Amino acid sequence: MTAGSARFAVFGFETTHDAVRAERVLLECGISVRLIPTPRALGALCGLAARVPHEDAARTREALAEAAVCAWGEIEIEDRGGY
Amino acid sequence: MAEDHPIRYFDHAATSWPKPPGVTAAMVRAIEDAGGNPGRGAHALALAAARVVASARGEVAALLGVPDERDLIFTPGCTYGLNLVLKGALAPGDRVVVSAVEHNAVVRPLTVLAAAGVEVVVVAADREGRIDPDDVDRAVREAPTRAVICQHASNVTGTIQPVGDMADVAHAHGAVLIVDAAQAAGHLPVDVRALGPDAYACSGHKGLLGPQGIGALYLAPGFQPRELIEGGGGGDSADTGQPTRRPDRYESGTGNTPGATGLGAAARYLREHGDALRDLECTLTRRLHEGLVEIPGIRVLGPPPAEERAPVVSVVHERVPPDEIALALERRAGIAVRTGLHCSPWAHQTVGTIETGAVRFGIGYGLTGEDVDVALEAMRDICR
Repeated sequence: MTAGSARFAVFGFETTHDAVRAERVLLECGISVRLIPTPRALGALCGLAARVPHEDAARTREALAEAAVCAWGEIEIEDRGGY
Repeated sequence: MAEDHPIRYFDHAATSWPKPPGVTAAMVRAIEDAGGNPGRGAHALALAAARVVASARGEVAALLGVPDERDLIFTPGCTYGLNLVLKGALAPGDRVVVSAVEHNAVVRPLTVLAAAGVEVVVVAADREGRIDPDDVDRAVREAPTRAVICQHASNVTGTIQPVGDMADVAHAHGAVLIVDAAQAAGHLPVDVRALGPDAYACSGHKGLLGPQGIGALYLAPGFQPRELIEGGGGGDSADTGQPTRRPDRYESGTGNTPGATGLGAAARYLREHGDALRDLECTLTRRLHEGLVEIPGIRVLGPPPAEERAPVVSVVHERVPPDEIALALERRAGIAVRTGLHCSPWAHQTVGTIETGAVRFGIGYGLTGEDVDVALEAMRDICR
């Protein structure tokens, strides 16, 4: 990680409803989540993705699975200010 | 105001008025504070719009007992929802069994489908508009049947159909049950898990007390009618195929965000106050019904007062035509009712009023016992 950047995990969703529901579920779990445009690296150019701190990736996976919210992809990104 | 009378609104079966607290304000907030396009972009206004639509979906799903919010589809209305299901599930060669009291929202799409080769078998009702599930069972047994189609409550007689029994009959023979809930949702306690329909189409602006231009359609998880329209949904635009996931599959194009938000606020109101409102509607309906049957020359359509009904009371008089009654009600007492065939010629044929139509009193939010008493006094005077 370079100075001034941060690592995140990003989860993609097939529908807006799933993305918004994921946001609600993660906020209830105390996970700092931000909905962002789906990064190209996730495999799509449209839609919403949920960005969470890298260290919360495992907790996010568990919380989404428990709430039956389907994430169709997960990547790591390094935010240099663009996100 | 009608000739200085306050409006006494007895046309809830056509649309609810006024709306409960919070509905209009929620719609204004949706426009002013959440005016982006839900799912199209991740800027603040687009996200706010996505959140209010998701929240509204959750409220309506909870009200109707829908376990998974994604199975609750927003539509432009009940008629659209029924068209989606009927045209998306039926193909030439299919056979359907339908009740003889259906609204034109079912009858007209079925007429088109029949012309295309769908066999439509009609099951008769009794003179009060009741459908006997045993009659449906006999009809379904005659040949392989794709769907049973039935309203939950009549917009003419208020008759409540045994939807749960219909679901059992349909499923026992491998058919799906498609329900027109325009007059039931909001007015009757509804739990789709208990009732068991495969499709349950609701109007948003009647008993659900939301605005016009929005409806809700529940689709059971295993029921996959083809979508009625294809288009953008904000998801993976590189894929030119229609998404298969709900709700996006059935909600192509920018939806009615203010309408959905208003409907969500109305559903929230009904979750908090629906039981009390339903009790009041039952009380007022019975009071009106019992008063009307005492007026000489009046015939009240549908079941007797002791039988549960949706809050609809339609009448004909042996001498005074419905249109004259309606005009006199408004002129004398500001009472708003609807006359004619109520888009339900089949129901009027069944109850014997196809030649005259009827005067329909639709009861709902905002009406009081005093309104009913004023209506009864006016009816006694007009029908003297």
